[in-house]
Amino acid sequence: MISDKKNRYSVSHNLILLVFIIALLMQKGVTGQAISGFVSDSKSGERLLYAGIYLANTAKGTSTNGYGFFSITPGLPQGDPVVLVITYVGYLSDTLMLNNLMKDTLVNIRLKAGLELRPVEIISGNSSGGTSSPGMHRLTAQVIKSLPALGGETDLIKVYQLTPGVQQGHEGTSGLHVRGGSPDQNLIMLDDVPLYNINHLGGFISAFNTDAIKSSTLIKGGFPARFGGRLSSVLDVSMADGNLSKTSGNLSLGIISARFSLNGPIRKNESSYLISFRRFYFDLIAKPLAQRANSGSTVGYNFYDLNIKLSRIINTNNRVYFSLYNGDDKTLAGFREKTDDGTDFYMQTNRWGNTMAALRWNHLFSSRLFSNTILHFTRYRVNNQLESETSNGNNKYITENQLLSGIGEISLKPGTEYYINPETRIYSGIQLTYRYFRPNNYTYYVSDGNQQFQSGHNHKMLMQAFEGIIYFGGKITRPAGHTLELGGRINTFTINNRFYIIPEPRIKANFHHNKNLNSFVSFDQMSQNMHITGNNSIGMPVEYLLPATKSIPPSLMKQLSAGLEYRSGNGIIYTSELYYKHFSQLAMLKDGASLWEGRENWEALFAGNGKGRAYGAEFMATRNEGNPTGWISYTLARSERKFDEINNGLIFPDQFDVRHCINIAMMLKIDEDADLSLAWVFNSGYRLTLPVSKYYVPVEAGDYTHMNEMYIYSRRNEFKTKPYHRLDISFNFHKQKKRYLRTFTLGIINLYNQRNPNAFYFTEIENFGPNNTRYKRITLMQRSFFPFMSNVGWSIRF
Amino acid sequence: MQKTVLFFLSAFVLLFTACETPVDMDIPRAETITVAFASQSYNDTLQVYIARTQHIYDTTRYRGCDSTAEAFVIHNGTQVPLRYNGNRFVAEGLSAQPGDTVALQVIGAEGGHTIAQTLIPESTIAHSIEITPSALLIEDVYYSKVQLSFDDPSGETNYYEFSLTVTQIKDDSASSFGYHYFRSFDPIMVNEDIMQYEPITMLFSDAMFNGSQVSIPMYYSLFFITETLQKVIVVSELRSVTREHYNYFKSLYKFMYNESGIWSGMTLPFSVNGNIENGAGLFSLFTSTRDTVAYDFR
Repeated sequence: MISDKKNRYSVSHNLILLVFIIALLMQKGVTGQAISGFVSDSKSGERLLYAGIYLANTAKGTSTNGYGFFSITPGLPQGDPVVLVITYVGYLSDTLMLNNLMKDTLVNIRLKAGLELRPVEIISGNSSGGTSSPGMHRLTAQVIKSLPALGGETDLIKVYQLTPGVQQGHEGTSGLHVRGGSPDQNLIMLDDVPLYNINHLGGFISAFNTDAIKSSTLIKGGFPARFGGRLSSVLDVSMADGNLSKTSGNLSLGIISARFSLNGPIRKNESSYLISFRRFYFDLIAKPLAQRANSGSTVGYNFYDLNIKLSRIINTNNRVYFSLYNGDDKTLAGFREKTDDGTDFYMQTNRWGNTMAALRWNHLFSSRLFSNTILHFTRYRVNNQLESETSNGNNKYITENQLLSGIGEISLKPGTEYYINPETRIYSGIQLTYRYFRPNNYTYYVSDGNQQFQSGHNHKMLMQAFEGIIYFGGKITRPAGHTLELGGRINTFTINNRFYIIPEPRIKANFHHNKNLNSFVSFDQMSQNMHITGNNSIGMPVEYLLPATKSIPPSLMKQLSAGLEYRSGNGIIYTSELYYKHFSQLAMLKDGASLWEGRENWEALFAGNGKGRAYGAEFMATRNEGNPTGWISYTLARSERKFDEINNGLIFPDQFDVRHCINIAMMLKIDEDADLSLAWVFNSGYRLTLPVSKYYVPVEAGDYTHMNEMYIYSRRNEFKTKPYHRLDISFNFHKQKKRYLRTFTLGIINLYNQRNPNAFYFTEIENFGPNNTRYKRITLMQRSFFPFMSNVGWSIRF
Repeated sequence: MQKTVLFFLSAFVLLFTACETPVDMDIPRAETITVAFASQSYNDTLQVYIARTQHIYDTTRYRGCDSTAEAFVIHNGTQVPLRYNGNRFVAEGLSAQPGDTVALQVIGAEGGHTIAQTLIPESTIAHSIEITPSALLIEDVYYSKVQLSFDDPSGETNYYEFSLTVTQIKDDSASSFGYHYFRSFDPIMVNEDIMQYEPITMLFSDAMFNGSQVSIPMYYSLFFITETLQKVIVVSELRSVTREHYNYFKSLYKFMYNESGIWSGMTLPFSVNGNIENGAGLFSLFTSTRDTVAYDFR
């Protein structure tokens, strides 16, 4: 339990929320009929999320929710015509006139895509041009696909790394360091289901196949109450539903991977499917080459992603969806060779990946009451196996070594939204989750082929936890356009007879000063019931997912943010935002601690009760209309940590405490068949810890002693790397063929060949001095990936 | 086809080619501190290694013991000076016993004091050891099974170190066996988290068996029988060590496992835990019992 003092504070907060909700419920329902329904794409039937709807007569408005549903009560005198205007970026606006509205009416609005498809759109906040939301960026699949990509493989995470307040971590990785947070503090969801470790290829590419994605939203502040479980951000990715009218698809080939997707109706206008597959194919080349070089050798790496979605409209009030994702990385290296006496065999296989399945049901109880219920399963696991066999005449020796680590959960999440009137909306829901952790199961045995003559040490750890969450909130919009949203979550977490209850209040207020100027302020409290350790920065599967326990309790974060948004007359949107975050009860592995080979008392390896703070200012100018489109952003930020058992208890900078960060992304339409995009990133360098002194001590090695070189390190993260910057550029050439649209992509990553560091190491360099004297010099070196590189891709869309 | 394969392979290699360039990073000169090291049986003549730290960019290798240092040990209120014998600083006439506290004091060149202190553990409980030669073959290496048994006293946590020294006699010449190390699958040892470092001595505490009689199986790459092997002498030693000794050598194992890291870029910063105040290293005395087993193959 949280301490009594905190409980009293939290209880008073909850009382305020309860009073607010009761007040909302007591809002006089407008005696008028409600118009509700869904907004979707006229061709494919895809639901359009966060589309704007407003009443032409009154300028009152609303937007579709995260499932494409809206409800609006005009409140006009009976007999007056009701004119709704519906807008969505990339689509032609539409109007709907309803005469003699006598009862609640359900409508389905279908928008046509714009005649000139804007190649890129980035939306900060809501899409409709109404009030903005603090700390949120929304990307469509179009934006993601248009920007330069490594090996021709567009990546959602890479594009978000170009937005203010988000650091990428080490060169080329898929880490998201959001406002001073670490990658384990991001809740990453696909169709409302959490995914863990979304990294392929050491973090160079994420698990999201852009062909399967409809839209995504990164929330850094002003968190809606239905989101929680992580401290720093929520990345909410929605899969496309599938075309209800006709079959379409695309095929893409890049330097490193191939993608194929197909979607269409199962029964026209009633049910649809989407299937999307991506595979990395380097192993198809490397494997035969390795065998050719040394027969019997095997080496390879591959990954794949499979997305499947099925949707069915049962009737006007009911729609169900089924989502499936399976992705895996696999490396293998080994050999099998015949010797004079027998055979030698060695094979090391590493696999890691996610599987998720979700069943979702949207139900309309009435024109004002919408519900969304999800039942999901998600699992992430790492499986490292080492097998060897040596046979020698009649003797055979077999060893097997397996390390298994993972996490899984089953969860039920029903939620509702009730539209009391155009100005007032309340929502609530519960989330019940059973979660298991297998942080480090290790088995090792030796056998002579007939029996195990030495049982290895088997270490199996299974931890089970139960999480129950209630969330609730309400949003009021005043006639002047100001909105106030109050909400909260009650997070309960049970593990090993230990019970935690943590309230998470959320407050968000937008102020609409005039048609061009909005301001906002928000306060969030977040908690995280699990700790993810390991070398997050290089994205290799060495992460361990561990639950909070009695000795390492859930981590907490409080954030206050405020900002302005100004929409100029020439289509540019200027935003600025200030934030301050405070972390508490953080946990990280102590210096030198390792979870390898299993350990009963793994909690002792952690330094707990850590604190941290992060604060900064973000500025962004976005152009969504005209040509070119894109954005420029600048972030000034600071992030630091403090642990009693690390750095002698002194405050130290976070590794990705990057003071200045500038991002430029631009998309230019050259003509009807060609467009250009570029991305330039700059940051002032990240932090590292270096050895500053060395000494020698005697170390016994059996019956002899050698002098071992030892190091004394600087204070944690005392040093700073040089600034990082890189320019990527990409050209897309389109050609409309009879039955498909062909796109050829040609680009360059790191156009001016900037050597940005991925790792540092020391080396001894021999130099020549005056009179040809030799001398040695110890030098710090940096290792960089991604020199000047070409980027080629080919795709067809039919 | 081959050209196509080569094209894609070249493209892929180009994609992931790493570049290495020097970095002009100014690492300020850190304060030079004293290094002291002594880890031995309390009833052997005390020998202490004393040196200074060097800047990380200093290309000079091991400089040896710092003969200019001035050092003392303090026992029962008596200050005994340490004399440099050309290799180490030695203290003669130190008559410390189990249960005593012995302090080391080093006066640095700048006048600074470095202090360390060790409490000699109580006498080690007698142990028995059974060795079964060539009990296990793993990856072409023969391991002998070593069964260590002893009684652990109850009370505060006790720390131990177990070592084996092997002397092989072949054709009338004595020679050592070379590099050898322990393996164990017993939970007591696995829980110490040092198996992956191929330890040459086994460090463990009595956290899992405090106050009990314990018998721990281990495997040691002891020796293998050849035609020229005449005799093998195995000396086993069970030491009662201090907590500082235990922490130091456990962290040393981890450090040595990662020490190539600063030369390869794949390690996280990690310093070895010592007990030298205002300095680095370890000052520790232990008690031990030894057992000798001889194997005659003549």
